[in-house]
Amino acid sequence: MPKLTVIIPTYNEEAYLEDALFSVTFADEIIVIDSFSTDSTPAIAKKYATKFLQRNFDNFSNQKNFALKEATGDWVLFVDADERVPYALKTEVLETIKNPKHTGYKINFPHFYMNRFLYHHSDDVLRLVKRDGAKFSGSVHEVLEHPGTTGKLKAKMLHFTYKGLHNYITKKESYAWFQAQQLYDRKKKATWLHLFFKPTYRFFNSYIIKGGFRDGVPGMTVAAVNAYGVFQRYVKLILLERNMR
Amino acid sequence: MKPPKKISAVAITLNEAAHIERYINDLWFADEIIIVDSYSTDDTVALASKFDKVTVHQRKFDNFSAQKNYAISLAKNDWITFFDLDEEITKPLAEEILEVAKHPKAIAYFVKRANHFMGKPIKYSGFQTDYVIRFFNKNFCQYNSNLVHEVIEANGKTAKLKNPSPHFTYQSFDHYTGKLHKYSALQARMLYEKGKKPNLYHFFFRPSYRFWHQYLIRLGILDGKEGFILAYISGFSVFKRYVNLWLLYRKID
Repeated sequence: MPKLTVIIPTYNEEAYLEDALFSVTFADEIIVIDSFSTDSTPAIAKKYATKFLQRNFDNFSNQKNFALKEATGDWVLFVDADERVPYALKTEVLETIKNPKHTGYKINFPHFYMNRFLYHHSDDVLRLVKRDGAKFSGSVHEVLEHPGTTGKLKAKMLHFTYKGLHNYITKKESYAWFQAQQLYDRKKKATWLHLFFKPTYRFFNSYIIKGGFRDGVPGMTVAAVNAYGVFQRYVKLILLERNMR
Repeated sequence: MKPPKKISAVAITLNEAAHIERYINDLWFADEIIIVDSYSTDDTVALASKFDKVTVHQRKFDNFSAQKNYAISLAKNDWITFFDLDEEITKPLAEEILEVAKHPKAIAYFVKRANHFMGKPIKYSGFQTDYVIRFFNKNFCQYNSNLVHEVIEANGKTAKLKNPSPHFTYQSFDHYTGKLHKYSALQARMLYEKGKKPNLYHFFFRPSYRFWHQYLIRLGILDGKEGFILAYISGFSVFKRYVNLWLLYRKID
């Protein structure tokens, strides 16, 4: 039987963490990598985790790679505190690692947003990898690298990303600073094309092409807020060029 | 020469330690300065109390109109200046107020605000008509009861002052949009209390209308990239207002 390690990165997740941990108790090893939470996250984590690690956060890649070095399982599944592994996914994960055809598997995340699932706005994210040769790279959008091919699981991950509209928008706004900084470091300049065309395209893509219009007002809001996030990225690039906030 | 009418300068504050001294120095021409503070947690009160002409009162904040009307009620004189802390009263503007106070021909005077955004002066984008009543006779004027964008209602003749007031509303982009988020939440609450239901017209037409209105009709296009950015975030803020309203009916955040 191949062994499975689950890695959960945390920072002040007391409200969400326990259900996430409870949903992965089938794993042979649970590693919580915490960025020195100031709430009761450590106490909750220690109830379930095989290993509880703490490290100062610099970026997600380094944080998760640090935990990856401590993992002993043959396979590793990455789960966030606001995610839950439902029974169907658990079964499929355990079946898959018995007879793997690939060294990495993507899992589908339908967004739970404004009290409903947005089926037209789901993402496939690489979360299950063979430990040997797996590592993260990239500072904002971390990329999980593995030596072989990538497959996709059928069962879905539950993801409670939505913590209110205001929280959702301000998260995009602070994320826009990160992205703007990356563009700035690559010496990109914000032009009219970026300010006008990119957000419009993002809205159109999310709302029409991906079918967001079939998800009602929440689908429309996701499209509009994503476009606004793209817009902010270029506004903030202008601000960085001017050395302003 | 008739002496000018006595003037009470009135203000409301919350955590304005960064502005308060500059603001009080700007009001050298006033006979008394009344500050109603909503329990600042910084040095606002201590800094303001150092000045002889200043009286500080504290009152729990309920809404802008009530707070401002209370502040006005404390003034000894009929003639009031009521500037925000992020507005500068330049020397020419102060002298103009003193001059007008000798023979007031109106009961309330508008001041044009000179706005800045992302480090650039904004001349259009709707700000060309950013006139606000800042000098008035309290017997004829009071703040209306709007929860947001409270304005003075003046019962009588009004006039405009010539000198503008530089307005330092921009601290950072996130601060600016944070204020818009607060407004859109409050406006949604007001619409909810009136029983307004959001529909497709509100979600699609109103935000685009706001954008194009501000960008073309109010000439934001002449303010360069900043004009475009301002129009976009105004449009988004209108959109967000109706999403907030939609959420209120469903009792979700």
